[in-house]
Amino acid sequence: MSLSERELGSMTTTTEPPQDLEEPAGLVAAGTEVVGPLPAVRGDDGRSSLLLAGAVFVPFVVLVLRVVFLRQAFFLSGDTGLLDVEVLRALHFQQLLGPYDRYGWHHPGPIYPYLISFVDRGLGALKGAPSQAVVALLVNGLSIAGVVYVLGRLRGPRAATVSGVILLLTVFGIGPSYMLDPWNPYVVLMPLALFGCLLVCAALGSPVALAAAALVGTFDMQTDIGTVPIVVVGLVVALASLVVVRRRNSGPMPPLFTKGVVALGGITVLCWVPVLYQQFFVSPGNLSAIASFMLHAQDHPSMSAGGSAAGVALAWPLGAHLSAPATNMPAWLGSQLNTQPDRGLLAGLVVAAVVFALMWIGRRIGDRTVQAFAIAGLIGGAMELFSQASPSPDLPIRSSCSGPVA
Amino acid sequence: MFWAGGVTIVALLGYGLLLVRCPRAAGRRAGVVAVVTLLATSVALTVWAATTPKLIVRVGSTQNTGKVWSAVAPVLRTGSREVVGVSFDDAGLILAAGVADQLAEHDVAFTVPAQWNWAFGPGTIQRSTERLSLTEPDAVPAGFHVVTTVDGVAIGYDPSGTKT
Repeated sequence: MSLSERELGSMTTTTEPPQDLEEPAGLVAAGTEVVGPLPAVRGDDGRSSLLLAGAVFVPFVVLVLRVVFLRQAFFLSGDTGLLDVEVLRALHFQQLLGPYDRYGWHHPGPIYPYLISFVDRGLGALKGAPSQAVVALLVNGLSIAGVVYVLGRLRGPRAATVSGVILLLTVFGIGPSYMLDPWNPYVVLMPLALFGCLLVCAALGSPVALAAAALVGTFDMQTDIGTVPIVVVGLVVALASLVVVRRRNSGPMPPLFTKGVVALGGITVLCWVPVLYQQFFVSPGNLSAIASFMLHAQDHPSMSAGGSAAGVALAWPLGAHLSAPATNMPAWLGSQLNTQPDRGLLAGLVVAAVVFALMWIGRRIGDRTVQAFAIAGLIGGAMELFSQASPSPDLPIRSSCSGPVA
Repeated sequence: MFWAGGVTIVALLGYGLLLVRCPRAAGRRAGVVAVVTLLATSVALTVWAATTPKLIVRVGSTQNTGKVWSAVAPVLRTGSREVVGVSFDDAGLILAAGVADQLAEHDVAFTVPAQWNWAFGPGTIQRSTERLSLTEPDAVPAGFHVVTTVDGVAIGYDPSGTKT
């Protein structure tokens, strides 16, 4: 018997006929229905999930307070220095694009600099590094809390609890340095996990979840272009599933256009206005530059083989983003393979064994979520290994700069 | 990273094995245990967040940027009419971005070499008034007077320029 059936059976007070016990519990969990803004376990009013999400968020509040009360001035350099320049422009509502990329274009949109600028206004003299750290902490913390809340609504308090413990332990393992690191490839990882959970809800027929996923996905796409393939494919699949579910379901479904859907959708559209304005009214257009970079041969020394640019630009973040929610080990493993092949190979076998063990456990308990975790880890790990173990590109910028690049 | 992966995997394995080996784990009591575990984890992590000393190291970095800015700031405050130039020996865009950030923080407009325009330019609607330039070593304008050198970074000004 699967977890969810027993678990949900003990939690629900529904008078509906019992679920088919032979049906394995997957993402469309038995006992789950779409009656409110989000698909929810029957009988769950969301308060317990909210409480658990709040508990997960508390450590981040403490970290934010520590950063704020450090009351030290810091000097930023490299990518964070450029980001701060963009934040200063955002303070005057002049920033139209996202963080600068070393390949000579900007990530698509300015959500991230504007989020930091809002905190910048509040922190006053402490702006700069503390603002970036605070926003990174809030983004990570709220994303993790969001995952706990959504999973709690979707699969019950037990799922919220387990995901919360795992995520908190992951935060502990990663350490504060990555949680408050404002570098854009890091800051999109936790939102990507939330994005995935929202997609599941959307696929079950929730328009609010789809709108929320679109907003979270917009943040990811605008902040790091490496997330575009995952986000776009995910949104399309979820939208198609939502349409099918709503057509087939003869029971009560939430209305398509609620205030929440309209608000989230409006904010999402608003986020893309500066991007489109820059593309069509400022020369050269950033989207054109990105497309040109991805589709044409580059003049960078390490990218003389035309067409490989897109692969180099997308393989690493794609692999990292896929693998990170399951395990951060592939990144470490890839570096080991570069420096200590024997140790890396041994560790690779261990990781493979763990991934397959996860798949076995997921199959044994009939939990497709665990299986999906394992598969994501397998695919992401393979991509990460490929990108890390292959010869590292020099990653030059457009200039003749001979020094390292942030 | 290693610890993150290890802890995550152990937690998932433990959870899975608990469910496989112990059917009672799916009961209400186990649910209470799970919630208490989450709260305990949260409290432990909160204590850790409040006490870990590594936090301060990562929030910001003084590195070369601080030293360069310390050298640049007095030149800017002289009130003279020189155009200050910062030429980079080998630190490239990393250092340029840091110094440019300080200049922007202090409301000092700056220009960059043409190849760096994309990094500083297209994200804004209009460029600021050009007053200070950041250049690479092979692009230092003729006549620049080097004031000092900090960690391979030469800082100077153009005596013929005009500071607005």
